[in-house]
Amino acid sequence: MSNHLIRTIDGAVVNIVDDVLAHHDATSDRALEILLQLRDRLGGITDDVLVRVADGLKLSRAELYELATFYPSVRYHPTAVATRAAACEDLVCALVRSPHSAGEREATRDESYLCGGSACRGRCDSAQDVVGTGSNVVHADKADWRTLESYRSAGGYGYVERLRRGDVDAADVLAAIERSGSASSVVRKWRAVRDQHGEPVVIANASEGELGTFKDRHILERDPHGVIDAALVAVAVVGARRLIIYLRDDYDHLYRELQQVINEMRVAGLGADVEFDLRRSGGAYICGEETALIASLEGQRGRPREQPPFPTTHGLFGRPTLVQNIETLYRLRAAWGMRVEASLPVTRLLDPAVRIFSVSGRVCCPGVQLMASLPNIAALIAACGGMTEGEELGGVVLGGAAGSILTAEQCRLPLDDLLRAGIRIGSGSSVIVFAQRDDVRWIAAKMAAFLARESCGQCTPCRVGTSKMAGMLAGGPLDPVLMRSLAEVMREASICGLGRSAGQFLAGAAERLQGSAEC
Amino acid sequence: MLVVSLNIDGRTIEADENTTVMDAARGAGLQIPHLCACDREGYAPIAACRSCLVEVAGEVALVPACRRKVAQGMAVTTRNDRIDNVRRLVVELTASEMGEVEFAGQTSTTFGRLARSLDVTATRFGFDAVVTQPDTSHPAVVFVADACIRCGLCRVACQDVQVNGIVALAGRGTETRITFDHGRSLGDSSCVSCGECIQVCPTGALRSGAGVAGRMPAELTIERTAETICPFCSVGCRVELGIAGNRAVIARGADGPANRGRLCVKGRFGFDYLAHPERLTVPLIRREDAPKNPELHLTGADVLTLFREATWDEALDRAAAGFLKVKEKHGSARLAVLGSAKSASEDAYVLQKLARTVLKTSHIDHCTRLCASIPPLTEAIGTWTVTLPFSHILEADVALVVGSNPEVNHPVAASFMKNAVRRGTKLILIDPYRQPFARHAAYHLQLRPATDVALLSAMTHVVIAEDLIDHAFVSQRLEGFDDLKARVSAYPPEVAARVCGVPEESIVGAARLFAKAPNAMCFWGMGASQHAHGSDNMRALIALALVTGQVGRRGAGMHPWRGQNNVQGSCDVGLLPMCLPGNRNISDAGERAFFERLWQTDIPGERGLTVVEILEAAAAGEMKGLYVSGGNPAMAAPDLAMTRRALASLEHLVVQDIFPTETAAFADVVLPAAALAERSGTVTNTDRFVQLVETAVPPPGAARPDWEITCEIATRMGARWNFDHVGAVFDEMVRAVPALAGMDWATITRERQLQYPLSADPSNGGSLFATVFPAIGGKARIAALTNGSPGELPDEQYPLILVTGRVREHWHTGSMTRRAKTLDALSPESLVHVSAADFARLDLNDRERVEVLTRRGSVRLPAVCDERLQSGVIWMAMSFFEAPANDLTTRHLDTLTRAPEYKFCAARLIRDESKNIGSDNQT
Repeated sequence: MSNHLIRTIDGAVVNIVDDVLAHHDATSDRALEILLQLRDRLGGITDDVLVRVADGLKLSRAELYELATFYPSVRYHPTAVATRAAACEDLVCALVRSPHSAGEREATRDESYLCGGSACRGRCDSAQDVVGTGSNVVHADKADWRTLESYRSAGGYGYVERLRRGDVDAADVLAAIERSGSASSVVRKWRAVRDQHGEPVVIANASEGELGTFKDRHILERDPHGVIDAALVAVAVVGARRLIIYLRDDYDHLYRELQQVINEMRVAGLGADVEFDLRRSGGAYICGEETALIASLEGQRGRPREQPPFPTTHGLFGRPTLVQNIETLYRLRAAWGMRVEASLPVTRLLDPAVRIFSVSGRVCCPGVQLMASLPNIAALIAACGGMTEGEELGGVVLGGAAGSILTAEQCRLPLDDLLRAGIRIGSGSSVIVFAQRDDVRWIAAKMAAFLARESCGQCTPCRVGTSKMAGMLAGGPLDPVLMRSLAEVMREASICGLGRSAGQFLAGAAERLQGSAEC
Repeated sequence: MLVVSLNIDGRTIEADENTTVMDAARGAGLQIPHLCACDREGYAPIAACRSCLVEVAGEVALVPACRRKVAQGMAVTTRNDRIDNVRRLVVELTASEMGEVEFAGQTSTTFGRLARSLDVTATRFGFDAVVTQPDTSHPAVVFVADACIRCGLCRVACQDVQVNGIVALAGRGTETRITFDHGRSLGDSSCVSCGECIQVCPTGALRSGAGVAGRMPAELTIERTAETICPFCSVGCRVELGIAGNRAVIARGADGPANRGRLCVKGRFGFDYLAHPERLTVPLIRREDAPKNPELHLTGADVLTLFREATWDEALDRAAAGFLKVKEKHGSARLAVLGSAKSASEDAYVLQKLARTVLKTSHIDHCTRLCASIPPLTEAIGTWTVTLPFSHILEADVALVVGSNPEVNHPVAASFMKNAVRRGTKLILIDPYRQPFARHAAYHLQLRPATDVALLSAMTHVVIAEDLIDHAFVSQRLEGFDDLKARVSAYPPEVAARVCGVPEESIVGAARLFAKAPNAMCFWGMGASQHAHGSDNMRALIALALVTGQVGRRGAGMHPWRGQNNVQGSCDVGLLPMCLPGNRNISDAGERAFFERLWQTDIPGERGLTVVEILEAAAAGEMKGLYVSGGNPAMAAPDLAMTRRALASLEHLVVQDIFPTETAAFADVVLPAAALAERSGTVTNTDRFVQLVETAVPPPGAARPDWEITCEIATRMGARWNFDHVGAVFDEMVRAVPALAGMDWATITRERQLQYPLSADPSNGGSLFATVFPAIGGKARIAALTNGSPGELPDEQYPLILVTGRVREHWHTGSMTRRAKTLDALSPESLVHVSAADFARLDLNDRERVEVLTRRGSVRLPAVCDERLQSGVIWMAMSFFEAPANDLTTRHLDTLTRAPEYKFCAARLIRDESKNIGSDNQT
């Protein structure tokens, strides 16, 4: 019984907390955004702040503590606020900065080397920039996005205006999308949401968190109106009134950009009848997954939910919910006639034949590559200026943390052959290039450590399995039988794709590493 | 509800479409393994442990049986090579999250049984190498992290079922871990010790505190289990006792109609009083050299020094002879009986029969008098019970709670109330104390103490002014509306806002919310009733409920909280000075004639005195003989100095109890009784459920059931009753109490619980009075107010308001719970709670000893700052012998209920300079 203690909290902090609370409805579903705004102003969340927010939101301390400790971006610490961010220690940054060989690695090994340190912040394309800068991570983020005026002069927002005026209707839109050859899942989802009872919600998912993926950032940095335009069409088609833009918290420059973009639109009277809600992810990779994303928007921990039911029928607070990622929305506009503009390369995505890749690692010019045709991965590396000086291609990690580790040989095979063999590019289209001298097992261990850290922790196979997997790959002799057992249970029994794909990854890694390393 | 047909392991099973595969299988007698699933009410599937995965034909991935709903034509396989293999791997992986020692200790746990059934005796994945120290900082609950598998069942138990919100599953990924509050130790957390987490934990990571009650000592094997009813509050939770060596060593919630497997701290950790060394095991007779000294306040072993042991015959002879002597010398009117709402209904029935037919007195009452929450409802609509069970809150749109702290006083019921809030019921709380429960309220009207009438009248004013009344109800089913309208016109919300210290817009908002609700329920507790004007508080509330027509439907009605576990039963059988069994008016000759025929003797026809009046009469020398069965007026009655004088002045006092209570210190004869768990009979809970109790453990020594002892006294005084068995008492009771019509001992023994009236329309789910009230004329009536006010207002000499109540861990006078080790460890001493403002003004230190004084007496005890109290108010619990709050309270009684004003008197608080030298401070 400790509830009679008199607590002290700094008066200035009280004012900031109360100010942030006053700017929200003080409903518990805003809890994460409230914590993030307080972090923005206070640097992090300490216990005295947590207790006051919990009281203000009528939440138990335990409930808010769960959120604060689930979402790393909240930067919770019981008593102190960390003063600076540590350098990223995830695969790409560590690869670019690290020694190559197992021997060199052992020499510099420390406790934080594998899964300690700071998490990926989605700047894998500028990993080299931070070499030698110690722990002060500075990114030269772009902020020269295309203006509303320029976008409108290219025909932007014209279609949604016609839709709102009634010149075209929802059926026309759906038909146009179908004709355009976009993913059939888009039309299916839109229809499903539209046909449901209850007030639908549209969520633009800008919470890309896959290792080595930064394509959505690339799009939003250059042409944010293109995304919002398509989202507004979706809002109109499914009959929603609310558009949530769910942004990866690490993209703080985009948070500011999107606030301005939304303001620009308000001033211009665009989307006037739509409630814009710009929310942030809290730094958990899993919140890129639709149901985890929805859970986080409900003020819960970002734990994926078993499907069915699908978000299209039972989404945000049980309402029909359309979640679409940034690339899909951006590309979709081709359906109603938006065309590639030579002066703005990112608009090439309106051409369905063009593929977008996030290329990082040991290449001369890491970054987003738009490829109209791609014979093989080696061609992609060439498009990035080839390997960094003095390096031979060792292979690539394709598809992010639970992706495939390809050999240099596989990189030279026709891409179609790889795909036929079951290799997946993955939705993030992440390609992490490594050199011949790089230690593949170290790379696999890094991938596993990422998955262990980013597992939501909900189900046993994933929570324990990813951790055991990271432990197995981190060092010592490998036991292929045990690895296969672990891979099997993760693949078969995990709730969501993270654990299942982690099992898939482990099965592949077991094969790849067998005989190659210290088995 | 749609029934679907599915196939599980080749068997065709019919199930409701809303059931899960696991429940459907269970219903057909097939057990699907699980760790994080619980089939009890309120446990939504977690599906995190993955041990219940099954195959569904047509689906590639395995699906969790605990979460997947059944569907027509579904074909489920629960066992094959693939499933067995995955399940074994899952369990092996789960084991690897534990420490090796804890895994080895998984013998009798759910996890241990599952692992054994799958032949998992080790894990190839390696145990968790980090060995952590168990969190033993809390007396009731221990957390052993090394045994935790992060399944989250305890979190659901704490956050979703009991809604106490302490257990968290914090962190992410491999860092996921069980924590308490915001990462506190258990002892430093706000854990309320309900033990729900212990009950459901599949690995024993959460277990009962070491060395105290509730923990099963490792060397003891549970030989058998037996059910009883919790002896504390009126919720009437069914408890399963684990018994070893004829001793109850562990308690779990059983599936009772009220508790659905839930318990609170008292129910779970409060049973070891049964085997306490101070239990009375032999009859006692007062020693000749032990005078009754009203200046002495004794309890427990100190009381025993005043007595010598006796045989039953000697003690019973002495008890009977004493009553006969008083009767001959002073007449029957000088004899009184005080029973207890802790006893079974059969005890109460026999006791009142003794009083009326043998002692020939009407001075018979019991502790229900002290809570007295029902008479204004009787006055208004003619019922002696709640109009509907508390669980109807789950169907109510709005619940209005007045003068109650249910999380402390009815914790299990409070858990259902919080479940309801989670499901959308809006809670309006009217209480001066900013209790933690207020977090769940849409409106907490934190009024100044004793201003309830103004507040409730203002709400009624709003309802009438805005025409939110139920016109049909008012015109067809209510009398006295015009008078009410005139009365509340004096209470516009702006006036009440000033009087009560509550924002006007909150009063208006709450009134609208309540009136507009399709179905609203009212609850009230002793914060409403224990005032000199308690009846007015309740009348004002009842009026609001009536004009808005919030009664008589599912989810609409009135539920005054009853106090003890058998308040309803004790009242039903006539343990009251103005009512014969069945709440029949004693002044009515026709009613008396019925009982004179039934009992074959004449009975006194005048109304008797109530509890405090009996004691006052004794103090005045007008009461000479008293039979106290189960009660403890020397702690429970107000103004204990007077009470002790009263008890000491009696010529003959017989005390029948399970412990040497403070009251027993004044007895001539002490008779050892069996506790509830040691005998059979029935108790009736707040919801009108008559519940069977059976002998779970034998009574200690020579102790006997109350009814048997009372019958022995009756026989010795010349009565010829034929109660050869408790069932015979029950059957006569049924003839005497119309509410029990249709029951008999054979039926209740078979059914174990029956909700009366049996004739009620089952479609109303226990909500009564859909069309007509049991009052004369069938209509409800708005009663006039007496316009009473607190009996003693603060003044210069005594500037503070003293409010008394209870703590979660202790029941009433503490005679049982203070003797339960865990409960006493959780709450070992009385504390006076002081508002933050007064605490600062008086310059007190935390737990500094202070003296609290009123015009009746003074007590010394430590003070704590309580930010939830209003300034000018101090609060004390009544249960502590060492600092009895009732040394301070007043004897002002409500004119209708005759309940004392425990919730208001004038007090002064000063630093206790005499005791501070030794520095007891524990800052």
